Order: sequence, then structure tokens, then C-alpha cells
Amino acid sequence: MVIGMRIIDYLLRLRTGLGYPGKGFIIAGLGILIPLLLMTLLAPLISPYDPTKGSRDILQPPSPAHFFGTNNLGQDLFSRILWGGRVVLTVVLVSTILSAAIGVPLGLLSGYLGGKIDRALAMIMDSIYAFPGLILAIALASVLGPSIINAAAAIAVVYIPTYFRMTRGPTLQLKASQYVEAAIATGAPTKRIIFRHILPNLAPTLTVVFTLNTADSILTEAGLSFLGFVVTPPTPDWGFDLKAGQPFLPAGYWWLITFPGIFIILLSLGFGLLGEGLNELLSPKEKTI
Amino acid sequence: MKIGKGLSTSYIVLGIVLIIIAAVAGYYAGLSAGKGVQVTTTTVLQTVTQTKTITETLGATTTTQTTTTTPTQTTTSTPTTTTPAKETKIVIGVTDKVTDLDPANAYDFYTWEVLSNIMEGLVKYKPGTTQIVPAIAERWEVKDNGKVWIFYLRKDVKFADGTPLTAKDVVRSIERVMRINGDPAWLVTSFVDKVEALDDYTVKFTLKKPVSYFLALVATPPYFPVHPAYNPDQVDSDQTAGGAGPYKIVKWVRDQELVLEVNPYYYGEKPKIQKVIIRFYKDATTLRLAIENGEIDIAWRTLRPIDIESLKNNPNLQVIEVPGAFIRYMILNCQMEPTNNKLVRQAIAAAIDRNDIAQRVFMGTVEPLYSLVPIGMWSHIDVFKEKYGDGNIELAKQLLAKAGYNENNKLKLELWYTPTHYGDTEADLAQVLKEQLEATGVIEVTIKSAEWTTYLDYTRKGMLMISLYGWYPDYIDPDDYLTPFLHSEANSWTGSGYSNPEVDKLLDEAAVKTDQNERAKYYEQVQKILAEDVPIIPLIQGKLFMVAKKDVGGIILDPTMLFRYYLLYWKS
Amino acid sequence: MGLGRFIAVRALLMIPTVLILLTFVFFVMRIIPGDPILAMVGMKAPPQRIEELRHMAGLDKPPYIQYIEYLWNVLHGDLGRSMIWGRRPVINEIMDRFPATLELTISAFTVSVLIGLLTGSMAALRKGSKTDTAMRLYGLIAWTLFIPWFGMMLQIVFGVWLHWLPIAGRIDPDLAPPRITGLYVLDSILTGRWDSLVSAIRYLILPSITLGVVLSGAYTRLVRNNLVEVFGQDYMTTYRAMGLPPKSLLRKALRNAFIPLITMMGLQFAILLAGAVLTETTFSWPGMGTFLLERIIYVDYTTVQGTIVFFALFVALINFIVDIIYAIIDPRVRY
Repeated sequence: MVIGMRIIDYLLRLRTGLGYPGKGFIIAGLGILIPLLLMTLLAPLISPYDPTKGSRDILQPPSPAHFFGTNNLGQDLFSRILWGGRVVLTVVLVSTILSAAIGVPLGLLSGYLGGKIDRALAMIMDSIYAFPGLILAIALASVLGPSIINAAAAIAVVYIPTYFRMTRGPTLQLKASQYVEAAIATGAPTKRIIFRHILPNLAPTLTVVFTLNTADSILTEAGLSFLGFVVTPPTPDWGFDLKAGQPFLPAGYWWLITFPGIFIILLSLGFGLLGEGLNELLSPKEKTI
Repeated sequence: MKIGKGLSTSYIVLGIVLIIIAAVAGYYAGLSAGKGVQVTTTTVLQTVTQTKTITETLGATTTTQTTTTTPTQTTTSTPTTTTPAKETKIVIGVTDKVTDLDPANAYDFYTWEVLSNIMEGLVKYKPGTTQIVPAIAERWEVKDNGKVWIFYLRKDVKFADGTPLTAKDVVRSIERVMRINGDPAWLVTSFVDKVEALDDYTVKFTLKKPVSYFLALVATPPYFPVHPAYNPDQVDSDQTAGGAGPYKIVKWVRDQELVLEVNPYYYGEKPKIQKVIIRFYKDATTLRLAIENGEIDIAWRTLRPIDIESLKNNPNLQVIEVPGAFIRYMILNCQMEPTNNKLVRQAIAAAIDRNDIAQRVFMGTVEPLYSLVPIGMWSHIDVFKEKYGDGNIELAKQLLAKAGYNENNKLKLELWYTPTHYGDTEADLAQVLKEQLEATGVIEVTIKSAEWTTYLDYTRKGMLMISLYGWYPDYIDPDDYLTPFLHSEANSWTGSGYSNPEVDKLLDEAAVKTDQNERAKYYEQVQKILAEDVPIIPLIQGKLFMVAKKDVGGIILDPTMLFRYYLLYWKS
Repeated sequence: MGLGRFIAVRALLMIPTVLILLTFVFFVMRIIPGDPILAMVGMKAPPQRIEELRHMAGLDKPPYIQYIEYLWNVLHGDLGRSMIWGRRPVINEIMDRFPATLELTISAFTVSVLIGLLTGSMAALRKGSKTDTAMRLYGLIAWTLFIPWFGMMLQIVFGVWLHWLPIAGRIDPDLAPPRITGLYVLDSILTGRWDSLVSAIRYLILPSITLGVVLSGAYTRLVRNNLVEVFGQDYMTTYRAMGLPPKSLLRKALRNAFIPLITMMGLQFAILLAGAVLTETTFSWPGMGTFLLERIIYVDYTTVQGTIVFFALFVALINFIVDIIYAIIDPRVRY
């Protein structure tokens, strides 16, 4: 949802020629993401314990033996965080790819063909877009039942309208441009116009949207997982672990909730920074005043 | 923006105006209706001493419930401004809900507890025991080998507004339950054929067949006589007129507050606490904070294990602990591969370590349970412990080997749980069970979950291989812990598909025998067969915990799990 | 198009939005295995009893007939009755919870606007400087603060360790003011109950900060970019040439940018509501979010549908109002 606002902002800046300096964002973003990705990829090698096996060492505070402490079942939280990253990334990447794969072609067609279908589609997409995304995802996920694929599908539905809108608008503009009109006049086939003239023009925007969208869907995934709609135990997942730690909060077991949350935020922030940087990099028209 | 073109502007403007008016009107309509639900009698709240004024205001109690749309602007007086002296008030916090104040439809433990304080049955349990003693009926007779029961009522019983309670009221109330046929009605309809008033103070029940535990049934809310104000043909969910119990309802705001005051016409010993306020909290965290901050005097159901543990260290609070009648168990599907193999089921029973569950999942707030009949109830035997021990990995391996499973050919199981209905320890329970079963090295467990309604639906359709469930008794008798699970005509809800003619026969015979010792022999035999066939594996039995301020006295809990507010008092 | 016409079209557009969501939710709910009857009758009820209750509730009819009937009732302003726990009218259930959500969202919105204005104007004043980058970074981090986590961190610090503020609930139950609007803060002021007011505010602080800070992330940049745009305009350059100090410049710029800013912020109301669901869950706040989640679990058809319709109408109405204000300010939008 926030992505929508960033897009408005992005377009606004395109129009007004505002911008910020800074490849710093890209570097910072990658600086967070690369270690995180390595960590999750290498989880089998570096994780000190089996994340799903409990032990008698329950509710141990962080120590050299357990960097992030243990939970009420005696599972090692550090290992769970390492492995949990895999679940988060899988859900998020599958869902973002899925929603892009549906939203972009629909937006292209809708914008290019126009007419009644376009208006109907735009209306449906707008109504989904206007509705609180997380609530929609909850409704869908509760129907589908908790599983990684189901959660990815539920999140994908929420973000399809974002891609649709981000594709349809520019497509409408491009179609009206002399450049495309000329192509149409020369009798170029629709397919060629779309793939040669429209899509390449959209690519920078879509890349940025994709990155920022990933950042946003990490939070949505965490929200769904927090509410119990993504994994069943003992599969480690950050949002789920955060929820599992919540009952222990009034008794003061801070480490159960602190670490999973920090990782959710880091991952989302990493993509957010990257998106910001890419935004600038890929928008050559921008100047700083 | 082409859409509006064809429409004339005036129509559209009219449309918007209508929408806005509807929205505003809807908001206010909802607002006032919402308010109306609070059946508040301000005057009662202001009465500090219970004298004749109460009888006058009671008229108001019964009339306000008919005028539910009246906005209660009169609620300016609040509990704080009219608080009576400390000795006469106790505030209890719960996370449960009162679902339905009508005993013809209420079918959950907490509502039953409230009903048991504002109503009374013909018989009741002696506090702290499971022994049945006279209540509205002072004595009874059994005739026709247990098929006819005659109750002789006390002559001084009155409802909370002074209306005398006679045999007609008993008959009216029970016939009402049978007619409305609400959720708990089966407790009456499955057993009672006819109920009639022989005279003003004699009630005769004719049963369909002899029922040895009929008294235990009569002690349940569907048998409670209710005030004539209850709608005779329909469920009366927000009815506050109550029955002839020690307390009466003076204020009821759903999911927020229930205020009880002493029923001045109660025939028995009057409660020591004038006013009991029950506050409904959203979750265990808020309940815990409420008792810690002194907002409430007693924290009742249900605190989390971790909270009970840490509240034990609070010097201002007392933690009371008694065995409860709540049991947890797993149901094994006897019709589905591979749990249709008895050896597999036995191996699972052997591998489970109940002490580990009690410690790690429930932090010692439960007891290991080795039979479906709870600990402390007559006929209970630790059948599973005798046959399998606890966490007996070796035996489990042997049994699995016999069934043809080994490290290369692992037994694959699906374990289901439901994440919210049994509280947030449920995911932990599933994980620990998985761990224990996998400790054999021969089993691979996949955990699955479904929300409550889906879970019930799958269970009824027999789609779950292993599922986790819990049981609160309807009536305190071994029959209620065995028949619903094992009798092939009663256990379809378990989805286990278990059927054993011998068990059916034993249970049927035990139900009609009147001698407890004789019945116990049947039930012991059933438990032994249970441990052999293993359609269900008992896991743990809940304890009841109550956290209260140090100077609250009279907290008596027992396996009926009904907390009796009328026994409470302030020490000092 | 004229303003009247614009309003009319926007109003009509609300209808399909609500209708699409309603239809969607109605059928999605029907796909969930099990129904509210199962949830209510308890485990042991015999199958014929369940069938009987389904029949009484009209659940044995084909879904499309149920749908048409439901739609008909909704058009008549009747959201039906809840199917579980006392079977109360859905509108009453909603009205019991809605004020709690409204109170939370209004106060969180205020918090986020304040932070947004502060950080945004700091960034705009020193555009391109380190402050600007820092504020931009703040915006990003605030936006990624996962609400339950941030809420729990505040709970553990200010509630569990320092004991300054309550961590769950809406008010000390002893002090709940009599209901006039359902907004505790407003009600306590209206009835002059100062102890209630203090209690209500104490309970409101942590949830509002949680939601407000997270939302402010988006507003920081909105404010910054708008102000930068205003600063770039000719009249501002003139002011600057006149040698006005930065403070007065900011005041003038804010005066010009304020209303558009607030309206653009209002457009983000849907995010606010989604955030409210998580905030409510974290703080046991008895509002619409926790309510919806509770009822989704028990597949209480009518209540979930009613709540979604209500949410959709509410979002649409807010957007509608914002759009109109926007159209009045900036006639370009109306084309």
C-alpha cells in the first residue's frame, strides 16, 4: 500500500524534476541484503542447532551457547532465525513474482486495448487497491489454510492491483504518444508494439516497483505469519516466532520477541533502501534543484 | 470520468444525499441499539443496603429488558461513585464469554458457572466434592428400577422477585428446554420421556430407559427452573430474570461486565458478598495485568501457564490450585492408513512422554493423564501407564518393527491441531508431540493446523489422521468420559471410526446399573480395552488455577469446575 | 466537469467498490470448510441437529440464493444477525467496536501528521544536506518498523520494565465513562470525568505511538516533497529574496501546502486501517480489527461480511470526502 504512495511520489518527482542525491542507498541496501541472503543460504552450514528440535534448556537468555537465547520449548532462536529467513524469502519472492506476472500483462492489455474491459478491470483493481491489503490477505489466507504457497498466493492477490495500476497508467500515456502512434500507423503488429515500444519504457519503473513491493510484502508476510496464516510449527518463520514469544512478554522474556522482529525490519529495510537507490539510478530525467 | 454522463445531475445528488443520510442514520441507530443492550438498573446499583427498595426496583429489571431500544442515558452513576464498602463487593476477571443467558441454549462451561450462581437445580454438588446433595428438591425417590424419579420440592423456594417456585415451574422450564431444543437440550431429551407435576411440590420424571447417573444430569443447567419471564417458545439470550439461585443479575453488558447482587429471597444461607462484579477481558495478558494492578480481586479462567508461574512470586496474591475435570487427548483415525493398524496406534501411545508435555508445554500447570476417566473420579485406573509406561521409546520401536516400519521405511504421520480454540500453547503441544514421536527414529510427523470450524468439519468427515482435542464434562460421571468417545453410536464426532461391539455392550450395561461398585467394574474393563485398542490417547488433565488477593476467602474449587461466588468472603 | 457533477460521479463509484468487495468476501467465506453452526453447537451435537440448525439459518439454500437474499437485505440497510454467541445484530456488534478503532486511528493519525510535518519540514529546509538524508532514512526505517514488534518493544520498555504505561486494554474498566459517542476520550470530556480521561489517554499512548510512528514514515517524504515544491515556486523565491528568515519561510510554505498535504495523507486511510488490525492485536485493543480476526476464525458469515462492507464503506467515504476537498482546492483533478 505504501508503495502506492511512493509511486505517486516517484511520478511527482518525474514531473517536477525533484530528486535526491545518493547511490548511498543502493550500497546501504546491498550492505544489508547480501549478508542476510548469505546467512539464509548458508543456514544449513552455520546454524549451530536443529531449529525444530527442542531441548530441556528452556527460556535461556542469550549466551555464547545460544546467541539469541532459547524459547519455551528449548529451541535455539539463532538457528530458527537463520532458517526462518528461507521461509520469508520464499513466500515473498513467489508472491511478488506472481503478482507481477499477473498484474503487468493485465495492465498492459487493459491500457493498450482500452474500452469497456479496461474500465471494468480498472474498477475491480481500484476497489481491491482501496481496501486495506492485510485484511484482504487475512481473509484469503484463512480460506486457503496455512502453508507457504497459500500465503504467497494470498499476498500476490493483494499486490496485483499495484502492478496493474503502475502498468496501465504509463501504457495509456505511451499509447497516446506520437512515438507509438507512428508505430501503429506503419502497421506494426500489436505484439511488436507492446514488446518493442511500450514494455522497455516501463522497465525502469517496474524494477523500482518490484523492489519496493518486495520490501512491503515482507511486512505483509510477517503480518500474516504473526497471525498464524503462513507456517505450521515447528517450521521456523520470523513472524510466527514473534507471535510465539508474545505470551512471555509480561513476564519479561525480551529475547523471544526482540530478534525475530529485528530481522523482519532489516530485510524489509534492505529492499527499501535498494528500491530508493534504484529509483534514482533508473530515473535519468531527474535533476536536483 | 465518463460514467456520470448519461445520468441527470439531480438524481445523482439525490443519491448521495440518501447515502449520507443512511450512513448517519445507520450509525446512530446502531449506537442507540448498542446502548439498549445494557440492561441497567441504576437504582439497584445505588442501593447499598438491601432492603425493600430492591423489591421495588426489581420490577425495573424485568421491564428494562423488554424496552431494549431505550437509550440508557441514566447510566451516569458508575460503580466507583456507588461502591459499597469493600467487604460487600468482589470483582472477578475472566477471559471467557457468557454466550447465552438462557439455560435452554447455553452450552459452555463459563456460562454454566454463571447460571449456577443465579439459578439452582433440584439437586446440586456439595462444594469441594462431586457428591450430589439436595437443593430445591429436599428429597427424591427412585422407582421402577431407575426409570421413574420423583422429587419432593422445598416449600420456601422463591425466584429473585419473590414469586414462589412450584412444581409447575420445574415442569414448565424443562418442557421449555425440550421444546426449544437448543444446544444442550440433548441432556434432557435423550433421557427424559415425560415430566409432570403431581402436586405443587412434587415432580415426576419418567425416563426413556433407566439412567444410573440421572442425578448428575439433573444438576446441569438445562434442568434448572427459570423465572416465568423467559420466553416460553424461543431462546431468550439476554434474559436476566434468572432462577432461584443465591444471586441475581442487576447489570449485564455483553463482553464487558456482569453485576450480580444477593437474591433476597434465596431460601438457603445468604452469600456474604453483597455484590459480585464479573469483568470480561480480551485475553490472558490483560487478565494478568488486571490482577497485578489490583483492578480485580480474583483472576479466574484462564491465565497462561507462564503467567501463573510468575504470579506465584507476587507476595500480594495467592494462587489456588485444584485438579480439574478438563482432559486433553489425541484422537487416532482407526479407518485411515496407517493409523488403522493397531500396532501403530500402540506404538504412538508408548512413545508419548506426558511428563515432558506437562513440564515443557504447560509449565507444570497440568497433570499427566493415563486414562480417559480423570484422576480422582471413581473407576479411574492408569491403564496407559500400566501397559506402555511413559515415553517408552524401546517398546514403541518394537511395536513399529512388528508393524513393518524401520529407519528405511519410516512411519509417516499427520498430526493436526487448531491454533486458537485451546489457547496459544497448542502449537507447542503439537511440536513436543512431534519431537517425542520422532525420537523413536522410525516416525516422521507432519504438523498441520486448521481453524476451529474447519477443524471440526474435517474431524466429522474423518479426514484427520491424528487430531488434538479437549473435553469438559457435561455431567460428572465416568459415563460422560467414555461413552461419547468409545460407543460406536455416540462417537461419530471424533472421526476415529472406532467401533467395538464389546465396548458398546459394556457401556450400555453400565449406564443402567444402579450400584456404583458394579458400574465401576464395567468401566474398568472398558478402560483396559481402550488401552489395548488405542483409538484415543489421553495426554493430560488440567488443573484449575485461581489467582486472588491474599484476603479473599471461601475459594472452593472442585472437578465440577463451577466456581461458587456465594461462598466467597473477605478475611479480616 | 463541474464540482457537483464530480461529487456525484465519485459517490456513484463507491457503490461498485463496495459491491465487488462484498461479493468477493461472501463467496470466499463460503469456500472455507465448516460453517458457524459447527462452531457453535459444540463437538458432540448429532448430525441431524446440525442439519436442523443449518436449515433454520438458511444455510442449506444454494449459495447464490443466499447471496441474493443477503444483498437484498444489505440494500435495505440490514446487515443481519451474527451467527454465533448470542446472535446479536451485526450492526450493534460493529457499533460496539468501531469507536475503539476510530479513537485509535484518529490519535495515531494525529501522531503521524505531527511527526511527518516536523521531519518533513526539517528535511525540506535543509534540502540536500545530511539532515535531509537522515530524515529520508528515518522515513524508510519508520515505514519498515513491523507494527507488532515495535509495539511489543514499547510494551516491554514502558510497561514491563518501567511500569509507566499500561500495555493492553483500552481503559481501566472501573473508569469507563458512560457511552455517548463511544470514544472514551471525548466521552470523558463531555461528562467531565477527568479520572476517566487520564486513564483513557494513558491506555491510548502506546498504541497510538506505535501506529503513528510507522505511518509517519510515509508522511515524512510526502511533506518534504510538497514543501520542496512550494519552496521552488516563484513567490517563495521572492520571499527569500526579501530576506525572510527560514522560520517565516517555512510558515508561509506550510500554510500553502497544508491542506493538500492533509488530504493526501487522508488518502492513505486504508493503510491506517490495515495497520490498526496489527496494532489492535498487539495491544488487545477491543476494536474492529481484533473483532474481525476473531470472527474469521469462527467463520461467522454475516459478521465478517458486515464488517468488510462497513470497512469498505468507511474507506470509500473517507476517500470520497478527501477527493471532494481535493477537487475544491485543485480544480485540475476534476477533468
